[in-house]
Amino acid sequence: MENIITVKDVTFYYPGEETPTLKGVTLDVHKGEWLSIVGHNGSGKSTLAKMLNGLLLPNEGAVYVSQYTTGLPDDIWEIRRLVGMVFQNPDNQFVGTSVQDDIAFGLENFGVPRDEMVKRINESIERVGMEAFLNQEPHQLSGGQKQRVAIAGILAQKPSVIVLDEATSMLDPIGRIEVIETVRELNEKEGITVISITHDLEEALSADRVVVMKMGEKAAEGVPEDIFQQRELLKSAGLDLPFSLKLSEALRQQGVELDKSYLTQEELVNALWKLA
Amino acid sequence: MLQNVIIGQYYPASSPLHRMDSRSKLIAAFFYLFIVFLANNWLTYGLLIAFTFVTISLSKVPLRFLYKGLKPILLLVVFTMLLHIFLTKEGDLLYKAGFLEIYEGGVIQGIFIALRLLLLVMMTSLLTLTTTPIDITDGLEHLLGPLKKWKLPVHEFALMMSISLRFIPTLLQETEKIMKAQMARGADFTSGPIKERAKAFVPLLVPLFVSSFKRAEELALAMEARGYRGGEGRTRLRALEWHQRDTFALLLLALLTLALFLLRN
Repeated sequence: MENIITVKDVTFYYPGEETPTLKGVTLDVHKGEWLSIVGHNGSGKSTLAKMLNGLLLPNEGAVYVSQYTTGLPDDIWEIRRLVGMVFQNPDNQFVGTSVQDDIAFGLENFGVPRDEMVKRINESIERVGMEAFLNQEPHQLSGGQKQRVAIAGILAQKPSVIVLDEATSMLDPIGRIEVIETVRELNEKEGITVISITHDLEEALSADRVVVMKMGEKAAEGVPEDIFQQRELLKSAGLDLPFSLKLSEALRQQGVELDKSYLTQEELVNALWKLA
Repeated sequence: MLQNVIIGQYYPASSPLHRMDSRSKLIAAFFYLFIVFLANNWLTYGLLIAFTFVTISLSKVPLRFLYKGLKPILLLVVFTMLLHIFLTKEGDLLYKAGFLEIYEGGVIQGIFIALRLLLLVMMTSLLTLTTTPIDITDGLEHLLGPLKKWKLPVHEFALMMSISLRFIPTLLQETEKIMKAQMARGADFTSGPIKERAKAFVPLLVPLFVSSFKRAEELALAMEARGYRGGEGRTRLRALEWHQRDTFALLLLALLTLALFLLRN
């Protein structure tokens, strides 16, 4: 499978710190996949995210995006265009005074001509379903709506990858679903690669692949079904198991005859009502 | 209580003045600051008053909004007027009581100065009443653009302005949240002597400051992630459009200036 991002043997120290935040991390991101990077606070997952679009540069190793390298000053702007990033706090990434101004911000930075800009704004706002809010001001929007505007701003730049850096952790449940569904549609229909950084394993359940980060190192990598079987590893990485998994385990301990531990609520419910 | 705060004093309406380009309005308001000083007799002041009131009625801004803008300076106007009335000793003596002498020239001078101040404030208020803060920022950025040659950070200044404008409601919301949190823990912002009340604001301002710095840092990161690298090579979504009415308005102002020159003493 073709790689869109390659992280090669990356080690990174924050200035003035003795222990590296990332220790020899190697990672391939396939084109069009949904990759979840999970880990506890301080596991280095957010630092890793900032490596992907050159906000931070590795002390050792290299990060390649398509044919570009984040360490090269000539490549950095094309990388930032290709790899869009949605941050945690919806308010602190809203630059414009209105929705359309905010979507335009990235385009203005890349010197897109005005006519083209208007076209792309209208097109990308539709793709996130916010066309009715074009002239609204940020304080009139909910958190989930602001995050969708941020996604529209990235879409307008015609990216290949969207990185969600804890983008749903400050949202209410409705906002969370709004954002995840928006991104899922882009991932499935338009083949945009999604990298979601999260400490919420529920969110990682639906990923194509999961990478577990622990103390600045990659502790595991694989499809969710395999990763979630490694309970000890997840616990040692400080992660809380998804609810349905915990429930199926508890039921099994109580003597309920389930074949295995189920990842999603639906699977678990299906198994439960089939019990004799 | 805080949601009632309006940013700036923009009065939304659809009028020829609202539709004017912010650049022409800025130029006109700035120019007006100078030509007001040309008036020095009843005729020229009459002309200025007529011009100002025609402009006001064109703007469709209700007079009470203008009055709001005038209120803070009324005291100053009255004070300067009295100062002139009592201290200028020209023309016929009108009234004398002890050391108090009022001359005809003083009264006229006092009225002229008061008129001058009022006209100035009315015209500049009209600028902010008919132009959104963001349009004023854009207009200023364009007008000051040539100063970039002398390394003046015009683009950065304009971006700072527009980001500040964007964050005012956000920070107001946050202030309210912190206020409620402190009130829930027994803080009292509304009663007690002024010193106590001022003290009560410290636990409000400190978290607000801390969070503003955090916001600034995160915003800078987000801007960088979206490819921001200064004003060089940037295009703009907000386009200012200079129409015929803008040229016409400036021509009218030039005509007024000419008339003032001809009619003044």
